Amino acid sequence: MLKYMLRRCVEMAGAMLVMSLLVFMLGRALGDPVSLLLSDYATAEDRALLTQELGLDKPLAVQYLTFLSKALRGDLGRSISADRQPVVDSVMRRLPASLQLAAAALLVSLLVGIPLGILAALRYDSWIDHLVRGIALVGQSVPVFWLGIVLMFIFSVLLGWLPTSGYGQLRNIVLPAATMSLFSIAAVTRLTRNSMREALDSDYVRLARIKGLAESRVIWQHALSNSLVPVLTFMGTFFATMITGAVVIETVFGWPGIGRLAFEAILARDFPLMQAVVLVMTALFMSANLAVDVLQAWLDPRVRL
Amino acid sequence: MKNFLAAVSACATSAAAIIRGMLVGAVLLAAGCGAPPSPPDELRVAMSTFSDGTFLPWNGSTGRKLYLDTIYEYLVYLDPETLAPQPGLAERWQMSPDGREVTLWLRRGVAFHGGWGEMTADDVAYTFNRMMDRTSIAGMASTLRHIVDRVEAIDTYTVHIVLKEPDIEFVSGYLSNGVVVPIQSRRYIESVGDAVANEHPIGTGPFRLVGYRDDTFIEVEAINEGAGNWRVKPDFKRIRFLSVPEEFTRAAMLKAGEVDLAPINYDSIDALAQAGVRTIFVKGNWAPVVRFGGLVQGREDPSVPWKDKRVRQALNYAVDKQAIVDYILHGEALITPGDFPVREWETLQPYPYDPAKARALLREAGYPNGFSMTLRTFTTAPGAEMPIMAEAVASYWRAIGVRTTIVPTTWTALRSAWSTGNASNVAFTHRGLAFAGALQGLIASSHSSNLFATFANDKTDAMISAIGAETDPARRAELIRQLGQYEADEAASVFIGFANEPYGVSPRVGHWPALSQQGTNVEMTTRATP
Repeated sequence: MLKYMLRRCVEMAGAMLVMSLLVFMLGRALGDPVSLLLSDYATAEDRALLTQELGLDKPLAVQYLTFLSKALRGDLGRSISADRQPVVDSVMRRLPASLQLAAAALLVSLLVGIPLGILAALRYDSWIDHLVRGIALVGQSVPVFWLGIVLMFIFSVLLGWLPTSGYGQLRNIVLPAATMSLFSIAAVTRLTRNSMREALDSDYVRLARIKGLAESRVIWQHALSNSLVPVLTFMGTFFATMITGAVVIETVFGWPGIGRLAFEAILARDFPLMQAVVLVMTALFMSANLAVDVLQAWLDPRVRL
Repeated sequence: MKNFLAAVSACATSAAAIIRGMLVGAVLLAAGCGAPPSPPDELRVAMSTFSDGTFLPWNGSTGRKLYLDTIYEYLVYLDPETLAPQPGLAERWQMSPDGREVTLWLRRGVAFHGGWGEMTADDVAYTFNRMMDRTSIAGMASTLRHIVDRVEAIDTYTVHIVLKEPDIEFVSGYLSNGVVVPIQSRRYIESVGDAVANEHPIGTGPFRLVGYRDDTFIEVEAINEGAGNWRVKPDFKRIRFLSVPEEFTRAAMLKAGEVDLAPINYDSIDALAQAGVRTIFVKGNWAPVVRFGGLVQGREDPSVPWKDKRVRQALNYAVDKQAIVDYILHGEALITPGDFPVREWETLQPYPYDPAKARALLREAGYPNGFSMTLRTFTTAPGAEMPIMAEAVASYWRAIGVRTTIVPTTWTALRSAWSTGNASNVAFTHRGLAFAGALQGLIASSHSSNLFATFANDKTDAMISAIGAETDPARRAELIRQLGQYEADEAASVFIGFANEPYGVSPRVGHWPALSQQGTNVEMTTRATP
């Protein structure tokens, strides 16, 4: 097990290195921040001076190696645009908001998706099953920005129950978390339903029934516990996606998370901030993957082979 | 089987109970936690962005002006109607006859917040020197470096500014609330350092910062227990600025009564009016325009068809400006040939809509069958309508044979391409913003030394120098008008007009004396009379 974890950690470090190079190169390909920082009255001389001050006049390889050597020591640099603050501070200030939103959405997804999936599996091919599948299909098809706007219109403008946007109080999280969770509710519902169906048709469930176990025990203890493994695996990785991929939701609801920070950094061509956000996102995603893989390996020894 | 059904039933009941519980909980939560109304004394302002979210004038852009202007103050203030400079921290001033030196006499007894002493000439000199320092990333930094030779404190209340080049508009153009050079406390910043001063800004303004959360809110409170200062007795004792990037959300907040003031798009005006939200227009705040690449002397692109003046004129005649103003800008623009708002250009004659003349000019220029070109476009605030304006312009051009490929881009990508010479063979939509002094805008757009110029040659350079050197206001205004007429005749851009920028305001707001330069004066907003 230790050997497996070590191998995965080495793979993760390699992937982070590749990602750092990709982010560095892609960032430069998008354009330079100097034009944004220069005033409307700038001359070519101003441009040259600012380029030099920001260290952007050096060859790309030198810039990358400088960045990498500092990053290995935990220094991801300072923001170009926002008062030259350490970018790690900016990312860490935004991360809690993203974690809160993702956690709330995850909770809603599990609390709604698993019961719906069980219900559909148990009422297989009934109108309930068809209804749940229909809801799941809609949930996975509806664009989140549209859903967010519709929910905002209904619950904030028409009913006045919830605030349209904002951050800092419990009521602020309801609409963005509901919007974010719809896709994952649909995914969890479908996954639970299919996995539960497989479990209910499996030999060990038949054996349990033949042995005369109570049906509730068969379902809750034997079928459900096994069918939830793929759901938890999915949610493990999807949680990281929720943290890192909420740009649209964070923009619509004015939620100050790292998705919006990434978007702003890209617009501002703030290379150090862009690199820091993407590296932190990558690390989060890979950590979630690693945790899920380790969990799977622990549950299923075949994975370790 | 019986047990199975019982289990199924139990599962279904459990699931239904969970869902029902969540729904009930959600409804109860919602019913108890609806958006709270604004407190009577609090003004809520939604902004599309806090920009850098920093608080010192030299560590960020002009986009912070709305909230910085509540905390800090300027040497002079522009009259919202006439744009004439009025006394601010400077009680009076005098420009030398040659337009190269300004002497300002400061208001006495104006104190910085928090007991940091009286504002003096030393603070003014310190502010300008920090703004012009190489470490300054303020929008005005490079301009000030180019134009200002030195700023000296003659005595406690007298400041002397020496310019490198004459500019009789210097007071309104560089010292007013039309730009971002608010006066800082030297003693405070040198005592605590920039980092602390940025977190706890100290000014002389009617408000002080009481709360800030990264990209979420900025809250300021009126000083002297709500009484304000020598300049403003605030109607609203607190102002809460909210960062709301999405326009739909800002409009929803206005409808739900969550904010009192917010920039909106033109196509939201009618829907908001139906919900009882009125619109205030900041007059002539921006100019929608289509600019051409490759028309700056020394950086020309000889391959572009619009190097020929007749082609540029044809592209102007082909566009129905009135239709664009009526249908895209809600009728809120003055049609005039200027690519950024200048008062002296408001009376210039626009190109009439004349497709026949446009076709004739194209034939004359050697393009009887038209040509193909690229038009880049992007959205910004103000200017969310530019992509649809690009579509409209392209359809008018198609009618005279000009086949246009519209390429969506971002402001940052375009600005980068523009300043590095990579946008010379394309046209692009743009929003020209109002400048506190016309000369600043002219240098930015029409002087060949400038990186962001779009139409510049020996003649515009000479005219700009003449405007700078002219000390008689009436003759200077005439020279500015002549430069505008020259650029109109040359069809330097495809002009639409000077647009009024829409802001949605709640019924709680009475009067907002918005200034056409960057929409300031929010601290002077009054409450509606019941």
